[in-house]
Amino acid sequence: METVETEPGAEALLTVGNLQKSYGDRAVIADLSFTVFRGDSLVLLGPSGCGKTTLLKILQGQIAFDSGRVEFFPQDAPRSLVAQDYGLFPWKTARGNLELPLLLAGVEAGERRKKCARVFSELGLAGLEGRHPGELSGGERQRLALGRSLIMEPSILFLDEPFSAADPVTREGLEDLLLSLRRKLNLTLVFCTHSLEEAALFGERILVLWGRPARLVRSVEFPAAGRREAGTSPEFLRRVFSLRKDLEDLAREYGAVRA
Amino acid sequence: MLKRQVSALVPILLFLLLWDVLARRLGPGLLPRPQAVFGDFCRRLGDPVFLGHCGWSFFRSGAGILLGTAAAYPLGVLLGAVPWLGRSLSPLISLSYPVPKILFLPALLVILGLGEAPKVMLVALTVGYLALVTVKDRAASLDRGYLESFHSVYPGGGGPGKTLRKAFLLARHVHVPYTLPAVWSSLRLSSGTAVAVLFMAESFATQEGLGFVIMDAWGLMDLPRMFSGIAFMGLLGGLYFALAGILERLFCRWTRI
Repeated sequence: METVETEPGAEALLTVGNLQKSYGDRAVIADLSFTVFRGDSLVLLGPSGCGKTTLLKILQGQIAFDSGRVEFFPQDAPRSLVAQDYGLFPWKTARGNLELPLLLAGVEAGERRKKCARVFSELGLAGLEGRHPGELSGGERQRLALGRSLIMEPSILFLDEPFSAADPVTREGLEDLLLSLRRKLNLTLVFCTHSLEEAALFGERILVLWGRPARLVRSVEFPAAGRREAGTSPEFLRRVFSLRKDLEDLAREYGAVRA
Repeated sequence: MLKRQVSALVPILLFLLLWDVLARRLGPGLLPRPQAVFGDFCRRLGDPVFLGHCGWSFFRSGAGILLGTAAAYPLGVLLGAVPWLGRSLSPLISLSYPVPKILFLPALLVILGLGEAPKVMLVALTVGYLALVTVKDRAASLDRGYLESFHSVYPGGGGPGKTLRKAFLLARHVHVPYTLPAVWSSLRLSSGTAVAVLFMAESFATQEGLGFVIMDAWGLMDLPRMFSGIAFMGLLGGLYFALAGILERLFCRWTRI
C-alpha cells in the first residue's frame, strides 16, 4: 500500500484510512488510505470495475464500509457528487432539478431563485429552465448535473466518470467548463476516471487503483495539470504516455482487472 | 389532421350503418334504429328527471373512483417502495385481485345497508384494486439510480439513516412523481369496469341512477330510453377515460417527452 504524505501547511478536507469494503465474501476495496487537501484536484484512476464508484458512494455516505475511517474536516463539510448517468429526475424541469438540493436544505424561495439564475447563466443554460431533462441534449444534461452539484457550494466535489457518455466534442467542452469553474470557485475535486487523457488533464495528483479488491498502487503528481492549453503540450503527451506505461506495468504485475 | 379525423369517423359511420341494417331486419320492437335512439338521446338532454339519474350515477362513480384511488395510491406506493412489506402482502393481493368485486355486492348491501355506501364502495373496490396493483408494480420498478441521486443531493450527503423528514421528502420528490403516471393508466383501464359495476349496483334497491333507468326501460320495453341510458353510461365511462388522459397531460408532461 502506498500512502500520501501530508503536505506541510496544507489543509486536509478528507482523510481515508485503511478503508475496507466487501459485498458478501467478495472484497471490493482493501486497505485504502489517502488524504484530500483544500484546492486539490485529485484523480482516482483505475480500470472499469475496480471499485471507484463504490469508493465514491462510501465517501458520499450512500453505503457503509466494513472497517477503516472516513473523516471530513469539518465532519459536516458539504459535498456533492456528479454521477456517470447525470442522476437527473426526468419528472422535474431543469429548474426543478437544479434547485432540489436548496429545497431539501430549506433555503427560502427568493434565495433559491437568485442562486438558480446565477448557475443557469454560469453554465450557459439560461432559457432552458422550463425544459425537462428529456428535452435537453446530453451536454446540457451533464452541465445541469454539474450545476446541481455546485449549487450548494460544496467544499469537495466528487465526480464519477462524469463525461464518459459524452461525444468527444461535448466532452472537451464539459472538461473546459469544469476547469474554468474549478479556477473560478477554487473547487476541490475528487475525479474518478478510467481515461488516461482525463486523468492527465485534471490530476494534479493521480492515485492509481488496481486489482480486485482495489488497492492504491501508485501515486503520481502533475502540479501543472488543470489547464486545457497543457492538453496539447509535449509535457501533457509525456504524462499520458507515462501513465499508459504505468498501467501496462501494473497489468503485467497484478494481472488485468475484470469488470 | 383532417385525414386523421376522417379515418376516425369511418369506423363510427360503418358501425351506425351496420346497426341500422340490423335494426331494419329485426324491427323496432327488438332493436330501434340509430336515428330513433339519437332523437331520444337529444330529448333526454332537456329532461330534468333523466339528468337527475345521470347526476346520481356521476356522483356514485366519481365518489367511488376518488375513494378507491385515494385509498389505494398511498398503499401501493408504500408496498412498492418498502420491499419487505410488498413481499409479505403480495400473496394476499395476488389471490384476491382476480376475484370479481361485483361478487361482494350482496355482502356490501348486508353490511352497509341499502343507501349510497355499498354502491360507492363497490366502485371504489373495483377501481382501487387495479390502482393498488398498478401503483405497487410501478413503485417497485423505481431505478435505484434515482434513490442514489436523491441521497447525493440531500444535505449532509444522506446515508442509510432514514429520518421521518427525509422519508417524506423522498416520497414527495421521487416516489410520488414517479408513480403518478400509474394512477392515470389504472384509471383509464378501470373506467369501463367501474361503470359496469355501477350498472349492476344500480340495478338493485334503488330508483335513481342510469342502471335503474336501463333496467326500468327494459322492463317496460321502452327501447329508445333503454339505449339512451346505455349511451349515457357509455359516455360516463368515456368521460373518466378522457379525464385520465387530461390529468396525465397536466401533471405528467414528462412521460410524453
